[in-house]
Amino acid sequence: MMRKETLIVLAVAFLLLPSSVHAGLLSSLTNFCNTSITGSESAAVSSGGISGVVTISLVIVLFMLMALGIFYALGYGFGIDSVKNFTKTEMMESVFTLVIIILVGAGLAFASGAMSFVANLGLSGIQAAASSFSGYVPAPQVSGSTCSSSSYVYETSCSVPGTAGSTCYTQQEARSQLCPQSSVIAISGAGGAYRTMCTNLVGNGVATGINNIIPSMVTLFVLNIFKETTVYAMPYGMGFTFQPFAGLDPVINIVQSQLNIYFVVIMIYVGISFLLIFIYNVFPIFLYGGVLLRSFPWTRAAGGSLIAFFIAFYIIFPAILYPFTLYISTLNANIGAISSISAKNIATQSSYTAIEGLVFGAAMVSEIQGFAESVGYIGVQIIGVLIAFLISYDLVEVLGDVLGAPSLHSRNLLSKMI
Amino acid sequence: MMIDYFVLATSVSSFLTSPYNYWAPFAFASAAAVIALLAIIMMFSSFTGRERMRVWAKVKIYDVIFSIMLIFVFFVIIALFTSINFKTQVFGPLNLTPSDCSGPSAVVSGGDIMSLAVCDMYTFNQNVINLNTAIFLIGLRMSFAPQIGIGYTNFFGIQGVGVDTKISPSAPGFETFTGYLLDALYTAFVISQLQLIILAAALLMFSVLMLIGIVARIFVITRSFGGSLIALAIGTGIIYPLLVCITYGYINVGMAKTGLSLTGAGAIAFIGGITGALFTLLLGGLGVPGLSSLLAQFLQFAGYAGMGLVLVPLLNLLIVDVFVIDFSSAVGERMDFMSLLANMI
Repeated sequence: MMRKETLIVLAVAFLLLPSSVHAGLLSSLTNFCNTSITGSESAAVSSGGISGVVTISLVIVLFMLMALGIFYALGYGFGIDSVKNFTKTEMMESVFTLVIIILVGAGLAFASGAMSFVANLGLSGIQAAASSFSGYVPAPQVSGSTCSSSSYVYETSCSVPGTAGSTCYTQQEARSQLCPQSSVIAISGAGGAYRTMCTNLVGNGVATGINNIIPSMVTLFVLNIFKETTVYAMPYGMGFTFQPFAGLDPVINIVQSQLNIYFVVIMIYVGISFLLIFIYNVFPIFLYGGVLLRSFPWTRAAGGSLIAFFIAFYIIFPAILYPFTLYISTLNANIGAISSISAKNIATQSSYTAIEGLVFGAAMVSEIQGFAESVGYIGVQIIGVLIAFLISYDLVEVLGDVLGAPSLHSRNLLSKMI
Repeated sequence: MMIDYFVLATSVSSFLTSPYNYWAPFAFASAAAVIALLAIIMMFSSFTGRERMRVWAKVKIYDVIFSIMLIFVFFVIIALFTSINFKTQVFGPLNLTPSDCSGPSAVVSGGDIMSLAVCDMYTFNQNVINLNTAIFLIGLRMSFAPQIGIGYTNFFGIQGVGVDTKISPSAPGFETFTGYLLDALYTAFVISQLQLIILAAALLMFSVLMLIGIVARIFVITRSFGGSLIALAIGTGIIYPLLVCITYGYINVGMAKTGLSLTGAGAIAFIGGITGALFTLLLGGLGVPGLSSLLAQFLQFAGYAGMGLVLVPLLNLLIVDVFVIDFSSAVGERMDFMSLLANMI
């Protein structure tokens, strides 16, 4: 038995308790990105065990060239044109494989370079978007001088206001020093780019989901309490009862739907992060395996498709995705977490006003708007993944043609299987 | 269950390790007979002045010689694959051999590529089963959350005038989500289990299909059929297990690295910890030690599982299909087994 006021105080206390539960989770996931994507290149590339495959492939190709020479001589001797034509074609293929082996033997520097080049093409656009974003307050004219008022440079998204008497920053400095997560960093290697993308997806995408899941859960918790509240007016066992908030179901359903979508959001972002981790660590093995298999005429198709997958998904896919993850980062840094629904509102207003606002007023509108903005993050990221995937997929088909796996293209296998 | 797979994987090993005892004499004798027959046709066509027949016989003799070469290539492949320990010599240094598949306690002891692939797939499936079970148990436990009723019905000193409400201490909406997750995981798991069955039969398919294929390729009228079988044998017997060892090896090692144990005492501790934390999330979840690390481990583990259930099977089957189509085109009749399978289904 307790008083109504005690109940409300308890409910408000419930709302405030879990406010930082997610901090450790995000930190763990971001660390996971850093530990899973190590070095400037994939570990598989620098591993001593696999680099021997290049040597083996080289020996195989040279052996194949020798065998083809003997076959050509036999075909010439017996006058079999089909043998001569076959060996000629195979010799060209072996020379092509030799070129690939030489490229691979030179390390994946070319892959990193190619990826950096493609990805950096997109960065100038992101840089411009970030510079013109309204979240930034105009910079002071002189960098390094003393600010005369707090209205100078500050970064709204990371809540670092300029302080009177402190050092002024230019807009660029503010972005890089005060709020480094929204700065645009040029890519210099594959590892760095993959790490940046993974941490962006976790730090901004997963964070958006978690930042909204917990308040949504709290909101549902409170709404359910209100919904279940029954007022008794039955003195001496006779009278009536009524539930003043029994009609909260529509609101509860909306918040429940949002909660489900936020769970999916987390799954999508975690999924993309794992896709990147998987590609970074496994696809270089495809390259080496592809070179090895491509050395034999009969396994050329498998080898060609492996190399095609490597080029399209290790180099092109992340290069196209990179600007999108930066865009998400910039947006998230400037808009911040969307959790306008009433974990905060209910805690700071009287309970009845908050509920009234939810059902009839601006809080509900604000909630729906905030939800739409949150989902917009996912939309942009999914569009990025789709664009990157489509281009990479198209490239796989084209490269399959070039590298000796024509079925990738002619049979449209990928789309059929999907 | 594992013993069944193991028996299936090794019961045909004599085909692989001693092929010359079983079918090589027959294949060589057949080749010699076919060459002799074609030589007679060639001589006969020379006597009768039928140039086209002579050229035809000459080309066919070349084809038979090529088939004999294929037999030798097959011997080389067998020697290569039986001499390499893929666990320790190939995938071990790359850190792609999960601990469940290495060492004396490995579920499959063989170091050949087929055994390692079966072990990788089996380990992954066990991890997924454990994950599904854990999610089910978490959902089940959450359904036991007691609802607490609180109220005061003695306002103004009058019994029966007051207010009460009910509080559910479990995290709202979580039960619905676990239901969706279980549906998705169990559906995807079917594909994963299917892969294990195919892999367990990889050695069988490789041995038998290669045997029939090489012998069939010697005879003129069954040449294209034989070539297709050879393509299918290499695709399902070597390329597919190779891809499984790479992709699922990485996923299994990654799952182990998350440090999440979903068997025995580890599972009990995890399920207890996370349900306890979720029960009390709204009532002081911060006080539960390690809640964030438990959730992070769970997300990482589930991420690897999702990768292995959705993307990796597609990728592996696609590459195998491409190989079989192009390889069968090169050595025999074009065979698109995935389309055939899809049409049959």
